[in-house]
Amino acid sequence: MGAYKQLAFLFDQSKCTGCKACQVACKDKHDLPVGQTWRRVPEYSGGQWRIGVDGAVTHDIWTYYTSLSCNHCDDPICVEVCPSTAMHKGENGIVSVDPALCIGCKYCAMACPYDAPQFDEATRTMSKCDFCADRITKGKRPACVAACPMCALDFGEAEELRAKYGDEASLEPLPEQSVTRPNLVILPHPKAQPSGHGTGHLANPTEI
Amino acid sequence: MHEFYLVVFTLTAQLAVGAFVALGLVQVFAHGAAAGERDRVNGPALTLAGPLLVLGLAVSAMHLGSPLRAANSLLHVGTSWLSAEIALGLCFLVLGGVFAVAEWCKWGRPGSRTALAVVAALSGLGLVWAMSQVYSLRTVPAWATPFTPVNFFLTTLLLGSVAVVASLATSAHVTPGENAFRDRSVLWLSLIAAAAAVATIAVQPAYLAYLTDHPDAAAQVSMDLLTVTYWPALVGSQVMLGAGALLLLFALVQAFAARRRQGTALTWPVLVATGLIVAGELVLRILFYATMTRIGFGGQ
Repeated sequence: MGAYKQLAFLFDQSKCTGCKACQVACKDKHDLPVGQTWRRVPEYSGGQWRIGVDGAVTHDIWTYYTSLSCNHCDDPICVEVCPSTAMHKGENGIVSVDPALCIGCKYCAMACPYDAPQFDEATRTMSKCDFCADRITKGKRPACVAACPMCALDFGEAEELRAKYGDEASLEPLPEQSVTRPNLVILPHPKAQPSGHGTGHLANPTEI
Repeated sequence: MHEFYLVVFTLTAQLAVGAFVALGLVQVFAHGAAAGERDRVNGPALTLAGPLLVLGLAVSAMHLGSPLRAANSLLHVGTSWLSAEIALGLCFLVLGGVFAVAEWCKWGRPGSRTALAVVAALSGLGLVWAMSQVYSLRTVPAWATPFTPVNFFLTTLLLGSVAVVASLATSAHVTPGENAFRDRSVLWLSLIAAAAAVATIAVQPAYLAYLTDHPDAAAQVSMDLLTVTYWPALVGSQVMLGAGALLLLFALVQAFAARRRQGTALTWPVLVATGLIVAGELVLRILFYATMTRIGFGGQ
């Protein structure tokens, strides 16, 4: 048994500057090649420019970031659809791939709305965030959490985080959380918009 | 394109199931037909369905990152529809194959062979259902609808019946001669194929209306892909299906009017109609994968 019932990430959108140190720390720790990015930082922007009657140009442009990896969901659709049982929920509630079983059919990648499972060209199997299970076992923080210069990203026991910070993860550009019940607790940015009702757009689609 | 293998696999597997079921249907109405007439109907169609399914399953393994581990895909039967799909595909292949060999060699009593054929057909229909559920992902609004099973079963009926008609028309061309049962099979299966093609066309507006009314932004992205980005392909597929159905009906009418031996008279128009229908279904299936949009980022 692990030390946690269910691990979860905590993310404060107001603190994040979009520097992507978390993303790079993750790539470094797991030695990920180009094309595999287990942690990504979608940027969601909106608002508009106005020209007033006096000719003054004003705006209410806003943007916010969400650092996102696998959310080790309570209702993981990747585990449900995986035909080989390679994708499984294990110790500490971490969802991971057994590379000895995976057939590389990419069905998990097709199903996951967070783009968490990614194909590894070298092993011809799927790969994904494993919550830095090796570091967790040694009592260390995941590489992404340790790297965040703004302390916007944290982790902990899902139940405790929710009791302390609430249970919000249905924010644009993420899908409604009821679909897979992600273990992600977000402290919303003042301009954060509810999933499916956003007026903004994903500003960095090629980075996701 | 990763999905190319899936396009080929789903179409060939559905064609094989449809051809097997269509052949079963004509057998039900085979009373009074001579054994020789029946064999000349079964032979060509069964030789078509089996190899096509083997080809489809082989192609489906090609899309895997690690094809040599394909057998692992059976480990999650009961939870993963993909496992169920592969299991039912293998069931249908083995049962259908044993039935074809038994028919050929006249093994067992006719009653036992029929029972085997019914079980094989049921596993084939189960395969088509499992395929539709594989794509009914709750994270893909354009797929998680009753239209997915409806379209897959229509494809099964359409491609299956038209493939049997084409193989019978070809065999009539190669080995002409009186065969009332063959002519009757061609007539009924052509009518079924034409009806299935018309139904496929009729379903499209309902599907587009469903997408338009869907609250999720991802459904709107799929809708835009279908009606703005790829509209020529969508329209083209409908035209090909409609033209194929009309050509099949035209060939039938012409054959009857001329009171010629239907099989021989029909061969060329039937083969062209089959080509049009297969091409129409191919384009529709490519569109099915090309318009896949997930909730979340996909809806942005």
